[in-house]
Amino acid sequence: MRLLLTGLIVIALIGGCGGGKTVTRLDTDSVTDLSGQWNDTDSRLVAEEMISDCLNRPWYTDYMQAKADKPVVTVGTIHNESSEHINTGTFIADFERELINSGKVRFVAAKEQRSEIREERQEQQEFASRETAKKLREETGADFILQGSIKTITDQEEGKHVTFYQTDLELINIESMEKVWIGTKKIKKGISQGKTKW
Amino acid sequence: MATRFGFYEPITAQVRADSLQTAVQSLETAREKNKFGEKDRLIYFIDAGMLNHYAENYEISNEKLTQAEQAADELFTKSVSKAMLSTVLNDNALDYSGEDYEILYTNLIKALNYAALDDHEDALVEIRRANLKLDLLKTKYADAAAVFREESRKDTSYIDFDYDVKEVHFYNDAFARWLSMHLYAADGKYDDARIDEEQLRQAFTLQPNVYDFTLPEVTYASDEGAILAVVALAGLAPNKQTLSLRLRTDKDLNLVQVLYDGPDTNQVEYAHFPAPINEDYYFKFAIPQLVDRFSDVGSVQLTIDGQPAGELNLIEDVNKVARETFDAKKSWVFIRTIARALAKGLAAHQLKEKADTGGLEGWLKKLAVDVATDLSENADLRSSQYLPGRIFVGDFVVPTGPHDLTIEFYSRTGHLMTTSTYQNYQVLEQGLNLVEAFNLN
Repeated sequence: MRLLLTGLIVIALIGGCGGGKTVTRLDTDSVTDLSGQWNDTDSRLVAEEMISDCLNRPWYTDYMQAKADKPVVTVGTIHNESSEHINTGTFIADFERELINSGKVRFVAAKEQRSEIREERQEQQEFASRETAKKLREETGADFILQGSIKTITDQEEGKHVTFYQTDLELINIESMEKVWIGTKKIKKGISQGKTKW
Repeated sequence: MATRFGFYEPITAQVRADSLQTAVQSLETAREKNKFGEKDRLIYFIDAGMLNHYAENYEISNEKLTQAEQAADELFTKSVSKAMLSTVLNDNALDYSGEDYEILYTNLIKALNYAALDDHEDALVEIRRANLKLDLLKTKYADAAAVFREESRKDTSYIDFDYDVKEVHFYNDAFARWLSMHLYAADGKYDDARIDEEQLRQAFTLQPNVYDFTLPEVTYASDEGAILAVVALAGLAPNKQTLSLRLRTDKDLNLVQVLYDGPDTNQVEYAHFPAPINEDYYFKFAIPQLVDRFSDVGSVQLTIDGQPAGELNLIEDVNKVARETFDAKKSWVFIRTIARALAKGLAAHQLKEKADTGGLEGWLKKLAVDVATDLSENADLRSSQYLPGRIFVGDFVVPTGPHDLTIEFYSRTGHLMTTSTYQNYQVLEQGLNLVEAFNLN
């Protein structure tokens, strides 16, 4: 009887262990670099470093002294001029997060979001109650726009592919078109090839 | 192509008959029935990517071609490290790592896919990736041969010999330049478009080995209207066939001579080089060679709203690009094959001496050694099947607004073969007006 019971437990354990794939959840702040290509960690680190640099430059104190208020910033287009398919949407989101969380600037939504919100506000004028409908022409206009690009240079070093990712950002005064800050961040990565699935 | 790829015949017939969704399905069925081995996965990825492109399944095409590109990178690196003298019987035993022209057009077809999906930024990414590959091509096989020689010297059966890898004289692809010129112009980046136009002209001037035909008239902007860019793919890229060679050594002269059967059955010298040889022997082996596939397309013409607008011009002969890039690879294959042949030939010679017991039995044993040695050096004839053979383009100044477009393919004897029509095609003042048609016959 004991033998039978032991056998059943073993079968149950084996059954419980077999089959299905294992999913491991990783801390989103952990550094994972499987392919050597641009990834979420690069995006986050570049955003942190560049926004920190941007907000500690003279333009910021100059503006605060002149206006006695936080500058209003929006993020424009980050062009992908690299040789890799990079999701610039997540890159832009990282810049937005860093700017907002710095507490040093006020931030308005980017162009695409603004269009959607304007459409919503326009519809409110017709369909929402007078008390709850949001007013037209009350948007906060941005003082500065952040624009930029990401480029790559690929080379070989000792038989291995090495890629330099260069992110260039510019902060431009929307009224005067004056460029108040230009930043560059370079990352160098070695590329290894994973096995393709078949 | 070897008989195990006989399943391609009905698929190619479907492609030529313009039954593209059926061809896509047939290729998938072939994969499900394990007609492709894992070693041949790159061929499947390229062909599935191409058939899905022709069938206008652009997103699926991109997925397959991305897998092809990744597999090619992975497998070439592996092929360099695995191609050592002692580890490989012949190249058919290796995973197929693709030809450079196959990988180059993988990127350019993806660029066309992204352009069709109105994603200019990603289309330009693909063109940059193609240019990057061309930059690395010059030394790719010389480097691979150097690794092979260095590693093979560790093997005692390796006989060192002096034979140089052919250098690739192709680093600037005209079709890639034409495409990026239009993509930049569509986004208003006229400086970049102008640079690409200049690069396109240079591609023709500096690479007459690949571009030995007239430079087509191209334009990316006009004060008189919008630019309609038309691209037509015609025929299919080359296949591989066996080039049978014979190797003869002369121990007195320390010379290796490689011969092939000429048209009048006389033996013609393919190559000769000095090598420290201890034995005289005669040995049969084979390497792959590219053979053009006949295309009957003689000209491609555009009509706009029922009126002839002009003829498209050849911008890329894929056969020539394939040949230029393949010749370098072929010389690397040649070096590896010769090294293996010399090592195997020496081993076979020693075996034959042992087997030479006289009489019929001894003769049969020696014959068996000869057959085994010859059979082990078959050429690797694998290649993808559905890349285009030639690319025609035309840039036409057209008033903005809707137009009915017809692209007509004419045979070499002037008969109308097929037409592709685009009803109410909206030509934009600013943006990409790119139309694609193909006839793979």
